[in-house]
Amino acid sequence: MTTGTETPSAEAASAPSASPKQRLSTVQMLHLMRLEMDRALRHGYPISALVVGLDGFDEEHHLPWRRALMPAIFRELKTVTFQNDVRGLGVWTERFQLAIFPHVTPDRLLKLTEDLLARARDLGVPGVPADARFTLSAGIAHNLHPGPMSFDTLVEEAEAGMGIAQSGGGNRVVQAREVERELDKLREEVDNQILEIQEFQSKLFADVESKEELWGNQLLTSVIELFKREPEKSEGVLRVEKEVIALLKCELAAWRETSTASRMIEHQKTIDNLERRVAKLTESLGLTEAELKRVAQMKNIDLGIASIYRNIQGLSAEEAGAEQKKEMLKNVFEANLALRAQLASLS
Amino acid sequence: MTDSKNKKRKDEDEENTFTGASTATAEHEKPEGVLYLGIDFGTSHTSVAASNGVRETISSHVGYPKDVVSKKLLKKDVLFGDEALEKRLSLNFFRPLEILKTKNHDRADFQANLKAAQDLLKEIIRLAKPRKDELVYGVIGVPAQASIHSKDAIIKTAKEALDSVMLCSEPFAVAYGLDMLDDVLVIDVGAGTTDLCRMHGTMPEESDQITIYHAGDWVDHRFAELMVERHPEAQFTIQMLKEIKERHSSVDERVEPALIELPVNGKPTQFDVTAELREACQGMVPPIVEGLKKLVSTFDPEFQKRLKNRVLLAGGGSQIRGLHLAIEREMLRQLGGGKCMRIQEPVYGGSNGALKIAHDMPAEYWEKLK
Repeated sequence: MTTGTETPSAEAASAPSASPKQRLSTVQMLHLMRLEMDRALRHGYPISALVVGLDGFDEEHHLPWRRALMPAIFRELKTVTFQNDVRGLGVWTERFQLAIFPHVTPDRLLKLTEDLLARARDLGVPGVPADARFTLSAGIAHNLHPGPMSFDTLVEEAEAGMGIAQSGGGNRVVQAREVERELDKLREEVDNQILEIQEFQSKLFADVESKEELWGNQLLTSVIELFKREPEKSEGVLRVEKEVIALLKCELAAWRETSTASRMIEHQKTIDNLERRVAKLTESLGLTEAELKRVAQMKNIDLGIASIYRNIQGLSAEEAGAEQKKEMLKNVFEANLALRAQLASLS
Repeated sequence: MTDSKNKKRKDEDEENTFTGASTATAEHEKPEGVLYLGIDFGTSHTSVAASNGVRETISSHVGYPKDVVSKKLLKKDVLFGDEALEKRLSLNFFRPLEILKTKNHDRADFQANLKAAQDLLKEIIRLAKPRKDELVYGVIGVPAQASIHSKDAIIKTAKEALDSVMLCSEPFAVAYGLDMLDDVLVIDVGAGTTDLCRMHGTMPEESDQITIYHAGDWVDHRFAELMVERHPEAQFTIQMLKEIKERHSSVDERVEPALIELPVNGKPTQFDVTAELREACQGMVPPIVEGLKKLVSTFDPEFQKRLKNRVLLAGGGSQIRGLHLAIEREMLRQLGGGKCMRIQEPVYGGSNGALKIAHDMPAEYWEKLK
């Protein structure tokens, strides 16, 4: 398998080169990537991975085209890396390209990848017929999620993203974990809506049924009471009573059925309307958010980047030397407290 | 449906601890967040490392347009970093940390420098891209032996821009960031001061820290003295020499010649300043090792050898080529040996460590210092 490696750094990107130089072997480069990953995990800074593959071109006769295309795409990757002012490490093979970017948040990598996809669409490569249009699919992964993370997981996630992008028609970039999360969230929302509707339905019909049941029972009781007024019932009266009650029950059941069915249809219409309104509101909310972002960008409003923490963290008890560090932090705090007191007394 | 409920519960748990900075949905749902900042408020450069993944550094220069004309021309009320340096002739130019970190607080322009420092801090916090709805908690590194007035000035500066702030010694932050808390000597070579700190598993005390003024600025002035002495015809400013130093500084014997152009009566003339630059840089090695010697000799004799072999070189000044080797050579001469290691990220070593301290600090401490 043809492989190549390079650092798509600013310097490398600016260096004119006909074909990528074999500076380090793929194994060496992967080792460096692992080291970068370890450092990112140790120091807690973001690191993102990108896996890029060609859409289609899977037939055997496409192999020479792939061999021509992949280094050219790698050069484009270097260029966009340079343009986006980030640094990273990259390797390429006939099947895919892998790059990791320390200190790069997924948002920045997303932008970089979109630039790459856009450039690749207009790329002409010698050895590949001009009419053989090609597109790229890319997957992005990052280490900013909770839970265990390793270099292998990061690459697997990025590959999964590329897989989703390719199966979705290609020429796109996907963050696998985000897609999964979004899907989970959507599934949860749908589940909740179904639950709410079912509860609404059951409550509605339970009320109706209980009201109808009550009314039917009252009617039956009244008829039975009517027959009870006769102190001594002849056989004929008893037969009539039995037939009247049976007939009444039968009629009540038939009436209840038609009534419930018509009410169900009516309520179903209400539910359909409500569902349609929910869908429209969701769509409208999405459009509003997109518009808000667009306006913010136009006005150069920097919305900022959210911290990866939602609340105060504190030292984990599992961290190495936790007790020693706690003592030191306490000392730092007490020194600050004493300083404030000293400054207050001075002023 | 049971699966769905389980999934819901799992997601609720996950949402509580979700740490993705990239998901717009998560950001919208976020009621509030805490952005931690580790700030290295240096005389020459100010760096920030933030818990949203942003790391930025700017040179510690601030400038305000001198008059209406320059304000119209520059289209800004205040300029920072290299931009301020570049346009300093049209600006009231400040290098505020130089004043704040010294003991000379009776200067007439102290208040103006304090204002400049406040603006610089606000700028570096802005560069860290905090969201409007987030609390910003910061740990700021200060020189090991900063005066009470300097600390006061820095706290006053920081309170304007941060929700809660703590100060800590710069070399301590470096050591904490690298998880090297036992038997380590940290040398933090800044522009204004070089801080030496002895770490022995507890919070360093007064006697564990030494601040000397043989640092970047001292090298610049020494270099200027040597230039005046050996090339009296050359015309230059300290800023020009600083740039030359940043490009060519080295204490290595075998190094490419530092050939530079300086004007002589208006005509650009080439000078070889390799020897002058090396001599100026080399000049700070003996005082640093003197300081190390004090810290080693007053340490438990049983652990002195271990301490000597665990010397960390940090700060912008550590980028002088061969400085760690020169320190080792001087240690061999003065202390009979030792091992000096340069940290991987000289520019962000202090801010990374301060960020780690901020992260590890318990909630109640932050609350009390608001």
